Amino acid sequence: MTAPGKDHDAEKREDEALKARLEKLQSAVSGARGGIQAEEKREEAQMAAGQDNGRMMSLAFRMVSDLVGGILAGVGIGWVLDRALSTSPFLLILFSLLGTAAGFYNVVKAASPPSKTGKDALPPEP
Amino acid sequence: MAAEGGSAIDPIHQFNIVEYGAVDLFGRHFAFTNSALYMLLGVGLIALVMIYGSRSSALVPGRMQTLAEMAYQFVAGMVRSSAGEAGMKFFPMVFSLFMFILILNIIGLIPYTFTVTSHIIVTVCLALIVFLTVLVVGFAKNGLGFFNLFLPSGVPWWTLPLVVPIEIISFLSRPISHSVRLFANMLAGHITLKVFGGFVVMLLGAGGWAIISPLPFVFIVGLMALELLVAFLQAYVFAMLTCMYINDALHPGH
Amino acid sequence: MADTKPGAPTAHATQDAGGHKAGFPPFDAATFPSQLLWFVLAFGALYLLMSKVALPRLAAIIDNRQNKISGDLDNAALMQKQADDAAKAYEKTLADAKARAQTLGQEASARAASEADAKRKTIESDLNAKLAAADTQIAAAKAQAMGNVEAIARDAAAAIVQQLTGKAPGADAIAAAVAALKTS
Repeated sequence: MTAPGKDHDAEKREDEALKARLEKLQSAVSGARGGIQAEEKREEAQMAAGQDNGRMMSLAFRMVSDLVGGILAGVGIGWVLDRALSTSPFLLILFSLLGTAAGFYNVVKAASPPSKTGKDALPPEP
Repeated sequence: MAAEGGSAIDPIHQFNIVEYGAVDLFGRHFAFTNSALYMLLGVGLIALVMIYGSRSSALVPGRMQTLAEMAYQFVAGMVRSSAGEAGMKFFPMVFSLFMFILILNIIGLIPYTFTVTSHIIVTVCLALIVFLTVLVVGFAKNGLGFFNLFLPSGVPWWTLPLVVPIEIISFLSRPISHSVRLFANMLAGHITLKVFGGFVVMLLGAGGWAIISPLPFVFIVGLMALELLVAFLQAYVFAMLTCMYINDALHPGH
Repeated sequence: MADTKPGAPTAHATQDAGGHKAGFPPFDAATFPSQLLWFVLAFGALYLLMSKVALPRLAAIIDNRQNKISGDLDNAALMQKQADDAAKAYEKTLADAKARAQTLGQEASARAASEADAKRKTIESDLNAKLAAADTQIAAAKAQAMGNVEAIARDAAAAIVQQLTGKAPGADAIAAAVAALKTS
């Protein structure tokens, strides 16, 4: 009488152990998937946070050089055209002004945040 | 010796081009210089990391492979986020530009080295590569539709005579600002570092004043950290703007 | 000494040394052709190495890893599902077996109960029959005994009356008297 009873108990215990292992496996599998996704998300967030300072700095670099670049481009074009057309100072003055405007225009473009999303939304338009 | 002592403080001396040998071809003077040496050194270093790092397709990467993969993922993410999947065709170009600028900027920060990117001819070449790529791709992909880039939408028609020239100048100013930014940042950073380094040397040689020589030294350490950040940021900005310009070439019109 | 130095002053270097006014080196156009040449060579080499060797290899490695990871995860999920199914099937057979055992037990006990019932019933009816038979026997015996008693009583009554009165009573009178007694 005692032997079968013991057997039954052992079986039951084994069953429960199996079930526990199954559950652990399940949670491990879904955990691995979720973990990978969570890690990716965390990395992205970290990158975004870490880049914030750098982004501001790089934006500042961009703005300054965009302004200077615009003015230089205007002056250069004016000077070349002046020499080619021998209209001495007039085109230089005109294009310097346009170049300055272009420089500020560059800065405004660089400063407006929706430029990227606007471009992303663009492809279906044409 | 005296001349060298003087040149250690001269902040411009570090930008001198030194020739190691030269040939004159087509009436031009071609020389192997320190600039060429550092360019080859930088390319060699990148090639070492990227090619040695990708030699085995180990699932669990080694140190070198991790570095190579990090660089790859970083630039690939940048290209994908600002130029889209279509921009991935230009990924090797953006990657080469980014790594080239980054490595040469960083090598230049080591004392007594030469900074290739502090010479405007190099940065102009880099910017022209991007500019010409944008032009070629823009016209090849959109034909004359590429001129839409100069026609901003949502502007009253009577302002067009003013807006279009501004847009054109703005477009033409891109390679200028692109190259001048990198050049000026590297130049200014290195001059500043050199000047403060010169202070330390001067104070050390000035008897009693040697006591306060650590002060500019501390400053140099901070400056060095800042320059390291700038070296990275300049490469980043250059690559980022390249991606944005390529995006413009792929999808002109605002 | 000057010969061993790699940076021996050449035409351009002397021009530089000829006075620092000769220029700010980055703007010194005399160095441009060589810089250009070496830039093109170096950058071209870099581009070729990256686009033809390093980047495709890295892309393959990263792709491979991504596929491997997702494949492994899918595999694990599949195995887990299989294990789950096996566990479910096992539980189901267990439950079935239990249920069958229960029904079997119930059936057995029901059958046993009905059998016992039937047996009890036959025994009971047997007993009843026997009881009834005994009852009738007793009744018959009683009736017989009663008949005997009447005759005896009548005889006795006749004897008593003869003794008392000296005269034998009529059989009719005795029978009436006995009947009256019996009814009372």
